[in-house]
Amino acid sequence: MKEMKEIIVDVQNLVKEYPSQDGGGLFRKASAPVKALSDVSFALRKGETLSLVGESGCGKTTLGRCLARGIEATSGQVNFQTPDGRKIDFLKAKQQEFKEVRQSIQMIFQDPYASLNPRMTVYDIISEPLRALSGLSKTEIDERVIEMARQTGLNNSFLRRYPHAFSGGQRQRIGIARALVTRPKVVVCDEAVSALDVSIQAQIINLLKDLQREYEITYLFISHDLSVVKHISDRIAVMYLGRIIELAETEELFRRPMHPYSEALLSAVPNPDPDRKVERIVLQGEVPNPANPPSGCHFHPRCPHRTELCEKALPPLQDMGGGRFVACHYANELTLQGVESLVAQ
Amino acid sequence: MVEAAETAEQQAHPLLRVEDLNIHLPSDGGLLKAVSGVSFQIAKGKTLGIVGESGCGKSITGKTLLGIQPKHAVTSGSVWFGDVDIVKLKKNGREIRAIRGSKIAMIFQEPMTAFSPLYTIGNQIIESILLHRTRNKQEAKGMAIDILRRVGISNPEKRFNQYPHEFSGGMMQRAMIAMALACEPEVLIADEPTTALDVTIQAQVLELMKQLQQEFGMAIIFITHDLGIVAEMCDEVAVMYLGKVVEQAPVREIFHNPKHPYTRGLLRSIPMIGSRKERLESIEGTVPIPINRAPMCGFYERCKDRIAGVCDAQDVPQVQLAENHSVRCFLHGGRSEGGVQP
Repeated sequence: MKEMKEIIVDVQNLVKEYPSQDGGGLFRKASAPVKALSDVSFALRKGETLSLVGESGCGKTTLGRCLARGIEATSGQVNFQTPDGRKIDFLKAKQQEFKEVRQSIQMIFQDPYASLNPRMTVYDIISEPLRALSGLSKTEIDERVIEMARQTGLNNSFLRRYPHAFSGGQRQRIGIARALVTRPKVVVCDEAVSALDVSIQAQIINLLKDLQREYEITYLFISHDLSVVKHISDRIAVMYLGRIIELAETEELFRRPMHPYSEALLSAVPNPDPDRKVERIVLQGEVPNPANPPSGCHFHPRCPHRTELCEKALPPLQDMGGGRFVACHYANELTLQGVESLVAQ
Repeated sequence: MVEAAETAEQQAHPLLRVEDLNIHLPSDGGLLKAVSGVSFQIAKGKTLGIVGESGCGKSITGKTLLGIQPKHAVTSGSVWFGDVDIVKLKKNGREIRAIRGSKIAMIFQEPMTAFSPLYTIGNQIIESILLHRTRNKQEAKGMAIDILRRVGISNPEKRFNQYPHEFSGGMMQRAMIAMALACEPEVLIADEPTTALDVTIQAQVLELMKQLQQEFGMAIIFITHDLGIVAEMCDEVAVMYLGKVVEQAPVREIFHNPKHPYTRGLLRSIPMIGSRKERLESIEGTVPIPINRAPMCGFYERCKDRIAGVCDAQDVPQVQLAENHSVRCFLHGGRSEGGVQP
């Protein structure tokens, strides 16, 4: 295990609920809210990349957005450690404190076509966070934008153009420049490379890594692509139906997952090697509706190892030692297959 | 279920043979050569993968095999299905309609947009059965329910009468596969059939397709950008770049002995779960727009091994490296004979 770096963001009991209605019309009755996130706690350490993986609807995007306050969480805390040692709960921060933390927690979005305003020039897009938050002078902003454009591989002449003139990869570079121009400490990358072609994807992943090294940025990397996640992250949190069900160091998780869902998720990834023969664990059924989650462990209807206990009791996220947390009643008893052991190399 | 002895015979008589296919789209800026000089063939029970990045022409090639094309497209070359040339058939004529959906069927990328929201799933599946297999509605309904059951949809009698919005993504893709298989086609064209799905659902759908291929013995053309899926599903692979097949070989050759610089770059730029690399090797630059392009190698600008004065001066011919391995690259020959072509 690597040395423990200091914690930069400490997320405590984060909950996000959406009101739901049954039926429509005049007499619709309010029913129990949909829990997009239930009681999520974890910590981000300085300079690391923590990935959130899981299938659509598991709450990974909601978690990223709540953390950056793109949407407001229902309850919980996001404690941000400022460089001068203060602790600010970002979810309750107002005015000056809000501006301070907002500069430090930025986001990169999935769709490079939808996340840039077509009526703004590239310069305006990149400089907007500085103009809104930093209070820097015009010349200082100018310098920062030009510096950032250079580092993200954007030509100076691009700054006067509009987003429509750029390809997907270049747009994503603009999105990255906008997120990093305030010199944030934490960047939430929500499927930042998913929309890109493989050859361009590799360029952007390399760029993200270079910038991380240079500025000691912490990434919360949200992705459904496990090969990319494996490549980029130090630790991985697996989510299922609004909860973290396993959190571990990347190598450890791939070598020996401890939750049956992690095992199935890892084995489902097609590996680009025609000679690899894998005993694939094909899960039956689909992700249940979060408005009406199954009793007990949410994964039990699809779990090959379920028992009566799983149908009744919700397993808490337990510390298994070595930086690993698992939410399964039988985490200690089960011996599950990792991917590393399956790849004969 | 292909016996080894049959294979040689099937090589000689492929189910579908594409010869020198060109698709040109006139546009405001000039002529866009979407597909040029594409040739491949596929035998019964085999899977051919067509891989490439967005805009390389893989989808339009797939649609052409069904006779679906943009209105203004100019197409030349041939697509032989038995002794019928699909390219020559009249658009929406009787002959192509007899083939489309019945002998050659297609699965589309977005199941949510491929179904009409106004009709029930059952209604849309029996449409092609009524057209090609039977005129009896009750019998057609029985067949549709049977095929829905076989693609793993539980309670198909109830599902038959439901509308698309009542289906989840994975269920929709199963329904889509059921619709494509309803007439037991000989060739199935799958255009990114799992791209919109989650990995665990993708695993289910891929298993299902393999199983159904064994059962029906159909040939599958798998259009995808995911090399993991290619490694898993395909027997043979055609790599496309800028409208051309730059390399074609059996799947193991492509992964273990790639020849074209683009294929190599592509394989190096994907993160592999089994390996530990600090940095990914990316391919520099971006795909050029194929409008009014001079005859030259499409990959020239991004190629690390390019030869100035050779690769940018002429079209690259296809070079046969082995019996079933061909490549379009001057590094592997094709330079000397014939001299510089105009």
